[in-house]
Amino acid sequence: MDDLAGMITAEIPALRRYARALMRDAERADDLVQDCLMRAWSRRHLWRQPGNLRAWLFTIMHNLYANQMRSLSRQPRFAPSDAAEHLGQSARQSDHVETSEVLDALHSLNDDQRQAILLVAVEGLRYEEAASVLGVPVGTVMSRLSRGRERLRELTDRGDVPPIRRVK
Amino acid sequence: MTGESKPVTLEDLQAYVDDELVPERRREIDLYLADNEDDAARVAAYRRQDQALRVALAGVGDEQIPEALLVTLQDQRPPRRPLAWVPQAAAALVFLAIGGALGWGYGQLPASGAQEQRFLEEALAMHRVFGNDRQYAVEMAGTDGDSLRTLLSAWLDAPIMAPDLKTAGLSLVGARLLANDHGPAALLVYETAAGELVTCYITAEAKRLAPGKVYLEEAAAGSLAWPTKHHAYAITAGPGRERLVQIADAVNAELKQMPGW
Repeated sequence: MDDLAGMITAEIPALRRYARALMRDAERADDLVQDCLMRAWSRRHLWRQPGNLRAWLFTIMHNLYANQMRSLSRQPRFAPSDAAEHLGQSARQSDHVETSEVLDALHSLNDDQRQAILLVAVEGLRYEEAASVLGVPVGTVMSRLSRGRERLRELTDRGDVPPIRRVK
Repeated sequence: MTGESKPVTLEDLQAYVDDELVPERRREIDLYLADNEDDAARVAAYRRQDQALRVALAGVGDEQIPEALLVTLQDQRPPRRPLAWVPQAAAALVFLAIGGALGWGYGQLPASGAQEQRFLEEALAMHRVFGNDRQYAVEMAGTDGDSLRTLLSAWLDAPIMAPDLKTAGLSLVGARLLANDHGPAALLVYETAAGELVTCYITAEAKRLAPGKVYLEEAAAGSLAWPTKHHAYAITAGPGRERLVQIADAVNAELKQMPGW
């Protein structure tokens, strides 16, 4: 079992990164990771090697997150930030896709799209793993990725090349 | 587009970027993209976005894991919360060591990765241009060590030479002078026994990089960058981080031998 503690510990950086990217608030994100670890540890007898430990942990965290969002949605205090406003600012500050800008853009996506992109593009899960974490079919993961990546592109891709003028 | 293949959907392009296609379909999309600038640009944009996200989020993976998280994995758990709770130090340290050693994924990129990212992109761009054709790769042959050293040192404004990388299986082809947005740069070109060109991109901007090595990979090449006392270095070759780390270590070992270092 000590070995399992070590294996779970090795996944903590990825869990924290995903939670932080979802919530954007380090403290609340670590609270979510803590809840996830506690639940995983108390149910560790349910996980059998050789299973996919990362997918199992992400599934637990996703379910906790979904519950949390459901209960928050009953309270009106949780307004999404206005991404267009953020983008306007960074666009003036820099010609390039800055890291904060791409995170701003990510946060203007809906939760479904954001989760699909984070799991696949950042955490490197295969489509099937992401589908099982999110509890949806693979096709749904793909369409969320499509819409999410397209939206990100609209928001961040000005092309790194400054506009040129054609001369005859 | 070839007439008989299925139409290409946005979902196909996702699966292409995420390497989820069967080889046959992948080849079809390769052909399709060669003829369709808009979708090729779309795929390139997806990849840029993904990479920007990974860089933006890499710092979290590098942080020390709070002890309050580690103690949840003990059988005798202390009461939960707050997170700043002081741990049972010994047990927590053991877990920290494990976590640090197994830090996963993109942890090698620092939080403020934008500068590193751009430096690595420059190195990859130089490699794309000069890393293919031995004939045009260099403007000074590596055979004349002294004048090469004089010229490079003057150009980059600090003592510099082309390190001898025979221990890493590389022989020097030569060098060329370059410039980037910030000032002078240079490219050293090496060759493996198999004839693959390995480039070493150097600029006088050690401060652009945080200490430590950072790695960026694209389809055909990988680049590993790190700062030295005076310069920023990036070694670029076919993908594969471990080999580049070995070469970088050989470069550093050689630099330490240099007079005036």
